[in-house]
Amino acid sequence: MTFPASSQSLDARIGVGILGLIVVAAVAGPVLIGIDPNSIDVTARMQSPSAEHLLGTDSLGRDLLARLLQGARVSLMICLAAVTLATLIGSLIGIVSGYIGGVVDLFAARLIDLFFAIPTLLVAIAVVAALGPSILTTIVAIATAYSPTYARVIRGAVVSVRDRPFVESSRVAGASTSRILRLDIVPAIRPVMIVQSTALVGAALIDEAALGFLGLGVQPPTSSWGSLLSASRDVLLFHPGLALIPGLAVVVTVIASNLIGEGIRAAGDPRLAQRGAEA
Amino acid sequence: MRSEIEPLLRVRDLSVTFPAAPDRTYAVVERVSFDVGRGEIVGLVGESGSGKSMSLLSILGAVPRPGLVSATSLSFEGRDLLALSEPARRELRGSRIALIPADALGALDPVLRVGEQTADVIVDHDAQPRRSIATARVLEAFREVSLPNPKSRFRSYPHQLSGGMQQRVVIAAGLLLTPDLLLADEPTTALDATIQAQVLRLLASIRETRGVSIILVSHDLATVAMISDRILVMYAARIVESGPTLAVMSAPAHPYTRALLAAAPTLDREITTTLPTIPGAPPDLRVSDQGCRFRARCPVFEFLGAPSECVSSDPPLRPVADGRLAACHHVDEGFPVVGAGTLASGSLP
Amino acid sequence: MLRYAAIRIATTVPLLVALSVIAFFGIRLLPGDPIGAMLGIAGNPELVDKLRHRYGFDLPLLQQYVIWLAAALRGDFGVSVSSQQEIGPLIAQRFPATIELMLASFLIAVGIAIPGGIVAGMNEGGRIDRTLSLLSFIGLGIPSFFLGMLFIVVFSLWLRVVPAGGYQAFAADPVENLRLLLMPAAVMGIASAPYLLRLTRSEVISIRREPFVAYAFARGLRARTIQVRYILRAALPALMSVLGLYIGLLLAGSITIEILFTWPGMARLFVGAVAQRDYAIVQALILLYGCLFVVINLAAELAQAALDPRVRLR
Repeated sequence: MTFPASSQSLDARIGVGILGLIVVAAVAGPVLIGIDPNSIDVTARMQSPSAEHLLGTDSLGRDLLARLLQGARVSLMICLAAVTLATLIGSLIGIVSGYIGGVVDLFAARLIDLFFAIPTLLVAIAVVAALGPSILTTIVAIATAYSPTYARVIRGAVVSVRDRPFVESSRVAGASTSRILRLDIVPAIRPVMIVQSTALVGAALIDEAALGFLGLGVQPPTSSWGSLLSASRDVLLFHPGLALIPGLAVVVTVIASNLIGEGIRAAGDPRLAQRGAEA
Repeated sequence: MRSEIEPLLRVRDLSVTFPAAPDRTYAVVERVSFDVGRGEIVGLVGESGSGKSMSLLSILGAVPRPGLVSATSLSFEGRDLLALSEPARRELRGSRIALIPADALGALDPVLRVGEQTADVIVDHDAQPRRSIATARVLEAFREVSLPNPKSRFRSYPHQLSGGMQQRVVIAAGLLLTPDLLLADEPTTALDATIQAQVLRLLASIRETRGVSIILVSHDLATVAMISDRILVMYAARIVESGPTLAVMSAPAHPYTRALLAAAPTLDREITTTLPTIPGAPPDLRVSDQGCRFRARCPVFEFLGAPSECVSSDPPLRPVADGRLAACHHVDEGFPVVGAGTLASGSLP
Repeated sequence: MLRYAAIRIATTVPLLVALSVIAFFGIRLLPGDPIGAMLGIAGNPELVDKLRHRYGFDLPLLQQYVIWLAAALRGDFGVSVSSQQEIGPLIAQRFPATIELMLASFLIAVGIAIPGGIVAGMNEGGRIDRTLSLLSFIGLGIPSFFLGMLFIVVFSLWLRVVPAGGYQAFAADPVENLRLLLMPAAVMGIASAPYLLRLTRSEVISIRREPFVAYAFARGLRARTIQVRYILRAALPALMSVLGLYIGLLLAGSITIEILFTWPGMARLFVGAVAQRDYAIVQALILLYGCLFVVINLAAELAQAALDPRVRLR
């Protein structure tokens, strides 16, 4: 007999721990090691790890640890901004479409379905095609790619609470639409929003890395995990150990955030939390 | 009780327990005992969660994990069911002991044709299964339960049938291998009143023609009373009253049975403006309790000013008048046995 | 079924139109046009005007769209601004490589994930399930291109069993083609398998909780009958629609994998065109990718309907 609820929350705590360490490293790391991630030293190119360069240097002699930590800042910032933006856009579309219904909903739902079928990376690349690669574009691209999925879930949640008695009673009492949305609908769907937004963190990190890897994300010399991966591609056969490090950073961060996401989902799902109590 | 001949089904001290915490269990069926004679219809009544469905499943050997079944005796045709191996129990399931489920639509696989999935019972209980023979027998069973247009129904999918037809299909499925015992788990709850009566008549006529025994489970005392010979009333995992239908219905001994009777819309009573319901909810079985489990809702308990025996000990099932058993410390204290409604008005001596 | 199929096919037409609108106007949202973007401020104004006229960028946008769509329907996507090549043949040349890679990865992923998901779902909470769930949870966190890098390091650099990339046409040398296909296909298949495995598992688990499975057990059906004829059969329709979405995911995954393994498919054309702002190619490929998704999902939906009478006979 296992109790999934408790083991899930343990996993989530591990996730929080790992992610916390990474965030601390990203914030404090660059200051602590005090090496300029962009200072080029052609005499010290492609060095293996040493006391001076803990993770070695890249093809321009830049310190890899400094670039990795700087990259963590940029990647995490992009991820946070993209998830926030996707949450805002997705909730807005989902709430409007789900609550107002009618023609608006019909149109929005169709469009959401169309986008839902198209993989996020492709949507993101199309946005890059239209806007040109940059940090801001990466944020917009990822947010655009995930908004439809987000809107779809939110719309479903709104439709399911729209006609519940507590909303109905506010309506009968003459509350304005914006008041109902603010005080009834949004609080009711907040758990769904939290689960969705956490789930997006890992996905956004992977897409930032993929865009960067393709050379369509953050552009050099700015380092992000994605742009470091793009550079890794070129040195993979010569310095495999160093080339894999930025990817490893992505994998660990994604798994940590997925652990948190699973924990939150399990906590919100009474069927998962309380299995075995059913008679 | 028919002690001189071995009954078809003999249940003694049947309990079903589930784990409540790593080191604790709780019983959803607790020390239940009864017999079912050949050709007898036994009604099993109680609120949802009282343990009646779980009792059926333990007879069938289909209690979901991690439930645990124990009994001093659980014998069918003299065979100890709990001693049988799983393959042997599977052989019995669906052939000698058949279940008629409550929710027929949910019980039918939505993506298989009605006739074909019904025929699976025959195929899986046959040493040399042949589909063509199975098909013929299913059609025959469909006719027996008066399913209109059996041939085209055979090829229908569950959602294409009406609720009444779906219920007939699962009854036919139960009858296919001429079982000795039918376990009918709320076979009429999903149906409207006229269809309910039809299905009950169908069950009664099957008993007449085939001599099959039936345990009819329902939350509705009136439904059960229509066709059963004896009635068992369950409350919070135990049997609280049992006896011949007529005796139980005309003079219920246990306060819970009386309350049930008052709450049930009976056929001969005018529909009153407010249907009496039993106030309160059944106790949480996971919380252990020494006393009578009905006392929190019991009008007698309230009237007598919370007598200590009701709090300190759970009343055992013991004989009262007319071959009945009841589990109440205060059955013999001369409460007027008037039936429905009396408790509500509180007409005690 | 025929009626259902006809309705479903008919409703995809507006979807395709919407797709063409997005493909065309989405890329042209920004002010300016491809010539300006290409030549930048360095462009000689006279030359820019000449080129503009030549490619039709001086016409009203709506008119450009109609001309573009009409040509695209004939398979004519215009000329690449950067390489001056006809786009239609350029795509056609790369299409087979992408499809080959996708099919191979699909077979590998389905071969791993469907049996794995079924076994895990049938033994929910058991040791196999927990192992597979843990593996797939970790797998979900590994992007396919990173797995590809690991594979290259292990199999090409250390073990030296396969080259790190390259391509040989099947018609020219089938054995070499398959040898070079093996690693990218394995990487893409393995990297995407966790997603499919988890969906398969949860579908099997939700079917196992259905009352008709409990009833099948109560009727004394054999364990094998219940698993195959009831649980798996009932899970099949939902799996079909899952597979539809999954193939779309593979198509997107092929982009990074093609780049990593220098596989000459559509993805390299696509990424190159985006980087160079070769709008005509980007538009053509977005339309093509979009159509592929729509068609694949339509096929998946029809397969689902064929397997589920509730959908089909509505």
